Amino acid sequence: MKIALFATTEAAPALALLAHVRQRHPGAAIAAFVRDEHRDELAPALHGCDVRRDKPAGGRAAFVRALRRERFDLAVVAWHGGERFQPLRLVALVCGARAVVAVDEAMRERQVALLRPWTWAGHALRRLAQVRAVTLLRAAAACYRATIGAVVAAVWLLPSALRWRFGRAPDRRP
Amino acid sequence: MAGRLLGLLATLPLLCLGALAVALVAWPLLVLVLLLDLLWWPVARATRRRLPLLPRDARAASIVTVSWNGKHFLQVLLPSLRAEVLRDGGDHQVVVVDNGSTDGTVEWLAREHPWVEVVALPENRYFVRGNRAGVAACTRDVLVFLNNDMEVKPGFLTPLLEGLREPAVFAVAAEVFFRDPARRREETGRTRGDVEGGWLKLAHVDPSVDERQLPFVPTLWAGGGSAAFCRRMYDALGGFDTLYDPFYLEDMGLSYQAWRRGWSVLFTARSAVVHEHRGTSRKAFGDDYVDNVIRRNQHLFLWRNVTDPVRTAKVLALLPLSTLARARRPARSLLAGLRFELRAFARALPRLPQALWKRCASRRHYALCDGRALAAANSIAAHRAIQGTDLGTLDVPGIGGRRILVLSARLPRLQHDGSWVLFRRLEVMARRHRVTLFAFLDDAQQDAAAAPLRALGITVLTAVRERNPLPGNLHHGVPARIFRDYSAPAMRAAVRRALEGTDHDLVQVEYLEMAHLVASLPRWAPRVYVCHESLTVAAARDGAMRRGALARVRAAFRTAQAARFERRVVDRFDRVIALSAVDAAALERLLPRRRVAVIPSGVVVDGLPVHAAAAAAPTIAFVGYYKHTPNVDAAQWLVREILPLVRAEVPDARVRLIGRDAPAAVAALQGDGAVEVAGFVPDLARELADATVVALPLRGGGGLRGKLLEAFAAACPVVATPIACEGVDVVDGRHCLVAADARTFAQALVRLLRDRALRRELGAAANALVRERYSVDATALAFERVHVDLLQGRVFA
Repeated sequence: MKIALFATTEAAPALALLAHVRQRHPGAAIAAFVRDEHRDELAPALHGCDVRRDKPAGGRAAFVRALRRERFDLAVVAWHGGERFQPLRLVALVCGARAVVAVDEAMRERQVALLRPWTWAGHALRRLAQVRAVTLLRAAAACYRATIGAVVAAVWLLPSALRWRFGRAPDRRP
Repeated sequence: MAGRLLGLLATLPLLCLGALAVALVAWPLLVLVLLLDLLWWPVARATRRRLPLLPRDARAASIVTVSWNGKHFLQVLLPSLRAEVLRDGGDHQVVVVDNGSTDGTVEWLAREHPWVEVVALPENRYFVRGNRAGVAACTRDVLVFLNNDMEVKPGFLTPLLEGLREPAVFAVAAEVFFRDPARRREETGRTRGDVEGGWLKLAHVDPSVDERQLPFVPTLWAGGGSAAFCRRMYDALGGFDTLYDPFYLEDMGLSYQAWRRGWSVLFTARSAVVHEHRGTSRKAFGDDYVDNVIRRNQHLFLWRNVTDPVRTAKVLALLPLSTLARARRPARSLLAGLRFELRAFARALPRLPQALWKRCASRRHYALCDGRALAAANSIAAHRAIQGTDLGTLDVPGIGGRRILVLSARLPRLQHDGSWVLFRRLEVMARRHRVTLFAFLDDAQQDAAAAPLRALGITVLTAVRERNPLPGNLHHGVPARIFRDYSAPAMRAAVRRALEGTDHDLVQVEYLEMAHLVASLPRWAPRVYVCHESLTVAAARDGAMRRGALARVRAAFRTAQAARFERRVVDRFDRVIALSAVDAAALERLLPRRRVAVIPSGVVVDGLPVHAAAAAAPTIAFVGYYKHTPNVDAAQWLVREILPLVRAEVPDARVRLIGRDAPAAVAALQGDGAVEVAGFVPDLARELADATVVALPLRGGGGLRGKLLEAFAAACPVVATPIACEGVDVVDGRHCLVAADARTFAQALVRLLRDRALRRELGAAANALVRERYSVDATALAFERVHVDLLQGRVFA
């Protein structure tokens, strides 16, 4: 059995999650995604695992494509909250595993799937309520910027692009 | 959580209702005020009146103190005041106004301090009316107001009187300290403020280095409890305004009126008092009442004083929103906050007719608009430009020395990144000029790295860089990195404070990130922008290296974004200097009407270790600061594509990657012994001298590569790309070998690794080149010429 373990939480919960997964699936081949700064601390517990970096090398899309090619049987993801945004908590939903299990702080498991919103919407709402208003605004601004904002910018950046492409520096030679 | 959400939902209609109530009053009021201003404007113009500036006798002052049941405070104040009056030796008058005290103050004063004149009021008339009663008994040309909970420090009086000798000065404020030195100094005497976002932002700030050194600096208001005022001007302004009765903001109102009339309000750090802050009013009336009076008076201040149409419109149009924003305060629920705000607003309304009448009546006396009055009050440079008076000078070394403020996005350090270029320039500049440097730090510990600069006599001001916490940049107006790392409001405020609190003749801004922060701030002294690297050139080159349609579209977008951003920022400067001709041409392409000067960086040549042409093992050195992404690309290209070709010819050749902050992508290059990631090295010159060849395989970025000059200074043989050579007039084959693609680059390296005589020849020629044309002194002289041109008005005008 091939398991992708997304444990980008703090070190202690990641350790507990790893033990939990090992207990539930003895003998499984585990590809563990942990934070860079926890790699040394978790090294003994990660023995036998294929330890991966939590930073995508070569672009996010390529990272997800590579994950999907691996055809994991199970993806286990720690949904533990925290101020820091952890994109890998969302990547688990699109990594192409046959089943995705989210585990919260109390080690409660729930099977989730991207296309079945009722499996994750409750958790998402609970988390959203804890997020500061400015964080939500920033997320909304980021969404706008990446979509409508980009289209608007493409139009009003056109004169600058043309000026740069076809403009000439004045001849300053005496 | 559900409870919180429900609570918020229940509060929402009430908040909207509150805002609506404010809007129903504020918006019609806006129309009324604008109409009134419009109709009154011709009347004010026709009856314009200026008070002639006459000399005053600033040798003697009437010192007024108002007290209510404050005998214990006076027991501290009066002995210190007595000593100060005797020390100064002037014919001073001390008046204590007793506001109907019941603690036997009047009897105690008659018994213990017969030298004091007492004005005994039958009841408490509070601060404003109490002081007005005291002034009525005063006979000298200068009034000094002191709170009863003050203690004056020796030498308090003389500087205040000195400042008032200048006819255009209305008031001089002393520095305020608290008795408990551990307490945060929420009152210092140096005050600043603005009308931003439709509301009054007032603050006491710690005096900056220059504000401490200068005899007098402008300040927005002179506190009514620790400052000296010109009696004649005070009377002309009508004294402390009863609009603000019973207390708070009356001193601000008085000073602001003085600024609007074109008079100056000054601060001097040479005079000091110790304050038992808010010793009487808060204890007697409670915090809530006092805070509410302050808020009410803020409304009244804005209605009475702010007359610029845009500012007036913002104040009243945004009032519903600003009320809601202020309602959210720590340790208070939203509803309680709203109640507080509405109460203050409602209490201000009955005084609205009085405020509007005074608003109209004062207009004929105004010499400055709100914007100029606020600028003159906040900034030393703006005060000099607007008021045309010099408040004293700071010593500058040498003849013709100037006061130069340098603003840098990062702290210049030797041997850490390309900022050594700026360090060297500052080193030379500080020999002739009084240089103040403001720079951002990555963390507070980095401040220790400023010690070498301080040792050169440079005043170094720092602030820690922080991420922008706010959402924004919705239409990609600012490149993402600059918006994230150099757009935080706190950073802008720090830059603003550096500009306002520094006495300077000229501002020099280093790096585009800092230029972005400075560009939108008001300009009161000529500004020079030094372009270390053109963002547009760097983006265009990055785009040229991209493969794939999507990546190229993205790169084109970033290039256009960089071009627009750079054009808008750079256009706000009086003079632009680029380090390389390529960057200068790019900037001129963006701004065809601007002329960009090219001044290359300078390097110290003498005293460096000289390259040993005969190295033990064939080592290729690359130096780079790896947070600069073109350096990462260069290291990868060198190791992955060039090194295998070199090793095919010279099997024992190895690469040494030098420089701090190597990311994982660079660390991963360290492989089978052929590549060593050395990281930061304390003695870079020694490292360069020990390498066989220095490689500069840069394919991106812009500006002048300091690493090329460093290698030349150490007489190292260099192989470089044409991009790496930009800004330095090298001749291929004479000063270094130039190669554009991996194969020719590898061939050049092999040639040098094998040919010791060629290494020596190139190194010697390169060294001679930097000695002749790229010395620090030569480039500093070129900067000097730009500064002189600018200050003499040849460009600035």
